[in-house]
Amino acid sequence: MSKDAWFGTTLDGIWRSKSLRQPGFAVYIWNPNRTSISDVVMGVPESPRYDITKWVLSISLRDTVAFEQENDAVISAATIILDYDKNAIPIQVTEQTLLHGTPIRIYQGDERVDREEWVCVFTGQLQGNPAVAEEVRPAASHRQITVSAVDRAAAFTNTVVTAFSYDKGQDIGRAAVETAVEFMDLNRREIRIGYQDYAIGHEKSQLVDIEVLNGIYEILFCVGKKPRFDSLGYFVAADSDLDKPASRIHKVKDLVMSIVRTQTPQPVFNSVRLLGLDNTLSIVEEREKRLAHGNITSGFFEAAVREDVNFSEGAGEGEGSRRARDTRLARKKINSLFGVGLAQDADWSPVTQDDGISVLGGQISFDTGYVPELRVVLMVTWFYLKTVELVAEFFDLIAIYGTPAKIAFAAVWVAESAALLAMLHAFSTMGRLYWEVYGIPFQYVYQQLCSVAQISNLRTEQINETKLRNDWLYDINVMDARAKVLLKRELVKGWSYEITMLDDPLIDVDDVIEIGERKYYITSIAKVISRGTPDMGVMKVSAWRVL
Amino acid sequence: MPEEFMFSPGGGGVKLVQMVARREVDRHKDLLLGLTASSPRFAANSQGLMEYTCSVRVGVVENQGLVENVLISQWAQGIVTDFNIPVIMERSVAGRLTIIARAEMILPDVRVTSYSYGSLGVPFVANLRYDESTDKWYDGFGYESSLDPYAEVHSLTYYAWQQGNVSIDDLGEDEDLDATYAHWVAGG
Repeated sequence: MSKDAWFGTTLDGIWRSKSLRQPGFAVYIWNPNRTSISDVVMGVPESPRYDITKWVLSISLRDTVAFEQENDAVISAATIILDYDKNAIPIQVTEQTLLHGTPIRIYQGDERVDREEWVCVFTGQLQGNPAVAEEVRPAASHRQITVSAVDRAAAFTNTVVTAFSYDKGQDIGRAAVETAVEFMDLNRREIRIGYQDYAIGHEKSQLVDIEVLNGIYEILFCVGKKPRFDSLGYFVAADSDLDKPASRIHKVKDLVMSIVRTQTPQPVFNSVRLLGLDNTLSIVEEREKRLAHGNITSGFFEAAVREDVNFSEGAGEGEGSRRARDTRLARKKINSLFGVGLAQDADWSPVTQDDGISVLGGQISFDTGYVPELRVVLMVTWFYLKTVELVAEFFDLIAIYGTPAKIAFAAVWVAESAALLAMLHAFSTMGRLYWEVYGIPFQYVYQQLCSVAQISNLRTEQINETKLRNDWLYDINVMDARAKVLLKRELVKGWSYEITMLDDPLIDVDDVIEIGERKYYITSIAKVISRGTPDMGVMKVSAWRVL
Repeated sequence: MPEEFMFSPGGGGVKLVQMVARREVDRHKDLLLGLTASSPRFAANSQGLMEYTCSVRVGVVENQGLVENVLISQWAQGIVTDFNIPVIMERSVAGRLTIIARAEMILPDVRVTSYSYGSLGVPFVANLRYDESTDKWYDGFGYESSLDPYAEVHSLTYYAWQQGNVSIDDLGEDEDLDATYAHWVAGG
């Protein structure tokens, strides 16, 4: 209901009654080379406004609801047929002035009311090149030029963005507005979206690789709104609530020419599955399995072993990328000849992460039982005894001292051999440990939330379900409420009507009107504004019956 | 990317956390069978989706039986190595088994709420006529309708339930490990 400023005016009184009407319209354009559509919307165009109403023969205007079906047009469109006039004042009405990108506004009013009070029913830009009748017989016939105009949404239908990331607790209204400012190049004064009283629930939320209008729709979906450009060209969050108050109440059907229920050949969805994403992390565990394995060769050459181990998902992935808990070391096999007992006391020291349970790796450690200093002692001892032996032989001490020398020499030889054997044993002390680390792998994930609203007492074959997903939703209670609303929406789509009634330019798409005892939610408005034709002053409204 | 899947935070590998698919709540309970799949044998199909073949055992007390070589299409990305999968299957009247729900290591928090047309504010959608004299609803053929457009709202919640290491041999011996309808539904 973007035209609420006009409610209560003289025009409002005329259009809500069955009193005599003198409908009028006005069409204005601006020079696209000197001003932009934004300037027009904000009321600061550099170009003068050109009134080309006099040359307009007819306007076919259509506004359609957006984001309801996959093939919904996001845009409103107008087709305008004009008299071709090179000598028109103040500007010629030709293909040289009706250029692609030309800002255009269409107004409706009543001839008895001042033009400045008329209602702007369309703001957009001309699109493409016009159709021009270049040669017409007889020569006195009017040459016509036909142009198409689209609303501002058309400029963004192919704009794919990766927007900013928003932290937990920020309002989604801020995300919508900042996205529009930064990625649609809109001025804040062109945006009539405020805080939506719905805080972002996840640590980080971001639109990624999505069409910008669809992305903002995803954001506003949480509060039942959708983005659109209103008839004045402002970017607004249209309320799609089916139960909102009616903007028009016609207790009698004086203004209505026909109400026709239209055929809906497709079955109606009677079940809505709405998926969201929990904002708290859940743990997903697997069963205990081997996380890492390997072997360690150690022995006399080191006193202790310290082997770092990291868990990986598999070949090609970085180490330490696998999360597990309750890890333990298993010794599969120890190969050792003289190193009996090697690595029997091997110990596993997991490195626990900040969360207190996650282990990405750890350290295997054990002592070899070998003292490096002993090797030096043995070598020095053997060298000393060998020296003694050589000295004794050199001076032939046995011949000099006899038996006592023989006994001493034998003792030295035994001690020397013992030292040599000890060295050989030390150098043979080594072995290989085959190890495995087991644990329970797990992952932190955001759990998917699912709320299903469906009509009761349906059999399997009767269920016709539609599935919607929105990762900005994180509260199952909110999702329940949204799913209920969406179910009602799907049901009433099967109760579509086409209402032909006297034109009421204050009615918008997404408005609710009440006719008689029923209420209708408007999904499209089509009208032909043309001088002196039977269709002038009549509009065709497509709507869902909601009550 | 199939929308059932979610990513672990921080850009880790894709993990199999999948929603319970289509659920049937307040009807045909006798057609809902609790099943557990085990010992899957994985293979990629022609579309590049991962499939696995496994044996599943019907988890209801009566009419237990082993169904062999059930092919389950798995929308997996990344590497799936080993897990046990509780699944819910529906058996049609003709005996055809259709998998209507799958759940891997964790189930989502699922709420199913069934509404009447009246509770949604659109009783006219029911296409019924109310007769004040009899205080009953009638269909267009003049018969009394069993459908009450103003029936109470009915809500069910499924467990966010983790079965752990369920062996195919466990089923039928311990009811607590039996993934039957009754164990999946809280309240209702």
